[in-house]
Amino acid sequence: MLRFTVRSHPGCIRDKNEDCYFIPPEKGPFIFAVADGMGGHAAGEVASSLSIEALEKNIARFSDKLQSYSLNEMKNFLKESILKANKEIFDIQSQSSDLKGMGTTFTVAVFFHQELLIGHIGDSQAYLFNESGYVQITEDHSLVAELLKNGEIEPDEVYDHPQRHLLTRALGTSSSLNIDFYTEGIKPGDCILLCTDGLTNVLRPAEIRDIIFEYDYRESNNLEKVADRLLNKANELGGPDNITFELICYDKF
Amino acid sequence: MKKMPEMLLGNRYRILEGIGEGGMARVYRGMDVKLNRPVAIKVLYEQFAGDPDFLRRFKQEAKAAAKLSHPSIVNVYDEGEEGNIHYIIMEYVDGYTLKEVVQRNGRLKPADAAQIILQICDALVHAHSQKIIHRDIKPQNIIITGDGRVKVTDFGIARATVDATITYGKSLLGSVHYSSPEQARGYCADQKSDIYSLGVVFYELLTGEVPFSGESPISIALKHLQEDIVPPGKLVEGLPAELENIVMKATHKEQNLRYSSAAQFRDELEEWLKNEKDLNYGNNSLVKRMRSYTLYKDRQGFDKDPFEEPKETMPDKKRYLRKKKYFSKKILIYTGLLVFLFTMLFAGYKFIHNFLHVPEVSTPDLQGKSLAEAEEELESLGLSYRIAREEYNETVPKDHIISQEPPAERSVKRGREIDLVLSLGPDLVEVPYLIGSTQLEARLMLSELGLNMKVDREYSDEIAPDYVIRQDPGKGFQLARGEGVHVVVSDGKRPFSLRDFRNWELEDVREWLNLYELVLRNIDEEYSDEIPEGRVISQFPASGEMVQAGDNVDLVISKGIDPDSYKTYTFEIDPLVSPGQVIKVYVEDVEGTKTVFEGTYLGELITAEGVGSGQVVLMELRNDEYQIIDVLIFP
Repeated sequence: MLRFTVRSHPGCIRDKNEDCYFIPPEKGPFIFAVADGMGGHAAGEVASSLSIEALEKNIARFSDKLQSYSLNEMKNFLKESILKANKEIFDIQSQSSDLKGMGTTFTVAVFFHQELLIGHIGDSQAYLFNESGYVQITEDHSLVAELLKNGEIEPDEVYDHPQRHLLTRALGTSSSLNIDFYTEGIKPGDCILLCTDGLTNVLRPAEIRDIIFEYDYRESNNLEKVADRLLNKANELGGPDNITFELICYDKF
Repeated sequence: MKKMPEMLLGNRYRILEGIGEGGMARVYRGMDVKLNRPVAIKVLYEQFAGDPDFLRRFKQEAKAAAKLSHPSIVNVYDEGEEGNIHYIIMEYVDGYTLKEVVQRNGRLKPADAAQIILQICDALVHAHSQKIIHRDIKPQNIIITGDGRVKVTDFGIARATVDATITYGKSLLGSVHYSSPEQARGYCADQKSDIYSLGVVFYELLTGEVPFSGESPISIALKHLQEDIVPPGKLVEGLPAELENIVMKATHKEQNLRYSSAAQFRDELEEWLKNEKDLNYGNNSLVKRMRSYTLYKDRQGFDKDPFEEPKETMPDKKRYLRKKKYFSKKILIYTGLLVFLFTMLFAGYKFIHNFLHVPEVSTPDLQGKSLAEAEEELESLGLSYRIAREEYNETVPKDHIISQEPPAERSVKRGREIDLVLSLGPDLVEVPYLIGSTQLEARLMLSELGLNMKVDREYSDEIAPDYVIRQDPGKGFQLARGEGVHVVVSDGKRPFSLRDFRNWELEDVREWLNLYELVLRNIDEEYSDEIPEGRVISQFPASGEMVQAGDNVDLVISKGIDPDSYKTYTFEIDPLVSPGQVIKVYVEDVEGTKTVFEGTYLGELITAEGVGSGQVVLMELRNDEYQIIDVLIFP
């Protein structure tokens, strides 16, 4: 059984929320997504909402088949949904110069029996928390992440790096696209966090874990308390960016 | 391009037409009506206009750049705002960006490349002296004007955008072909960073390629940090070693080991150019040659052959210089008198002697010698010459002797005329512009000129299959007939493996093919026992085969089960109920539902027939209601 909650907030500095998210329709399937738009003016908002709409449409279209999909078919389904979104966002830019250069991050998670399938582009993140600790499942597609991986900068330098806003990959910025996929086995007691960097730029994963455990997310009503606390904390710390996150608890099946 | 409203910005600048779009501004050609001069107007995108932090920074940088005044820097005249429109007024420069020049021509001649870099060095020396760092030196920011001058634009603008994106939000990592390692790593750019970037530009001009290329900006950025640059001389045969050293020094990963200043960079270039000019170029101006690079689009009205070597005038000059060196005026007079006396004596003797006897001399070997040398040699032997003809020759340089008649070491009478065949040098033809032509067109163009073509193919997302992506050497280079041009031809988009469409609805396949830019060619229909009507039975190419955008795909769609293939099944049914009971037996098959028996069972066997597939259902009436007591599924 899955319990989930979502928060999306513009933060304290910006007047618009360019983040977008997707939660499962009533009858399933259990698909979640967050998107963090980029590009000036209204473009970021357009890109992130287009990506979520494209996913929504594709889910509606294949709703009768999704239930019977194998893991591999599900992966193909996600891939095609993302490629469609990419094409749509990319094509629309040629129609209006105000939308030029727009794009979005896109992190989508499907709960599939006891597996978690994640498709990912950009620097939004998916984390897994449980009693034994936490792990960041997704790898950021950012200059800073690459520099860190290649030993060019130290972990401490990441948070204040002058170029931490630079992405190496995003949805809708070119006609071709390379998507990362991850498959993780999950077990009862696991809590998945999908979030945009508005949360993780101010809260370190360890701090998030402390909050999740402080309110014991396993108690059914506490998930909301955890979410409220995370949002408030991020805003207390300045809320420099839009904050969007989804918490999904896997209880048992 | 968005139309701007008809208005005067700041009461003096009129927008005329859009000429380009950059990362943060739209550029227009305009007119300063007050000074009646053309200007370029950069209008900031609205998205930035709403960001006060960015505007402050942008104005600050524009003001700083406006302080610069140098012939090789695009002048910033003014900056201002009109309602929500924020703009910069700049010098209007008509020309091509250096990027366009390299894209269209391939690599440049070393001396031309050095001339261009020298001018950019000048611009940097000036800017750095005002404490302004460019931060984004790249060929796109360097303009070659119609008269061959070099202009650097967008000083300091990069800084405003970097700071803006921090407050403004994400952006995609852009081109990093020219970024220094320290910039890639995220540290502040300084003068040495501009020197590095300029070194990379120099590299590109000399080789036609950037030192690091890769699938993505990040892989390029990491190469700037980690990999050594392949020395340009490895790519271009005969590249002067001095230039290679200059490039390698400018692009050193360690800031400390690069040129300490743009001035030092400039001095080394100038030194090389000075020697080079003496050797090869004479007074053939860069301006003239740059025209041939940049203005190929519109060549009418320009010198047809700007690469032509200056006329050979050296021999006369040399002789004159030699005399001047060795003889002072006094000596000249005495010697003149002496020579006169001797000549008179000798002439008298000669006159008589020749009358009686013409001496024979052995012909010299003139092959490979310059005409001037030959002339001297023949003269000393008392022979004269005639240029029988001039012809192209691959091995003998221009104005040197290919052959002679009579040949060497023959006895001939003095005064005899020797026929010489003079070389015109290799038969040079100008390499045409091949990019954007098909492979076949390129081959035709080259064979017309007597040039060979070597073809490599590579995948390209941008260039359609069979079209030329790049060439080496570029347009305007002179090659001898028989030499080759290397072209890289597009092999189309990168292939990928085709997925399995079996059991898919036709509409879903269509959408998928559309997404991957494949073409649905034939749709055949077949009966199938397994695949429901309207879905895919099979496909060509098969799943897993590698395909490319533009490839055709054929499908076979199911029409459902073949009616002729239905088998008829006959069942003898013993209902196993007591006679006297009311029962009903019906068959459901592909043809529908048929009741076989209904009424009181008398104990006989009941025969039922089913077609294709379905079931036979046996029901018994209990309490006025039929209840199913048995079902037989077939086949």
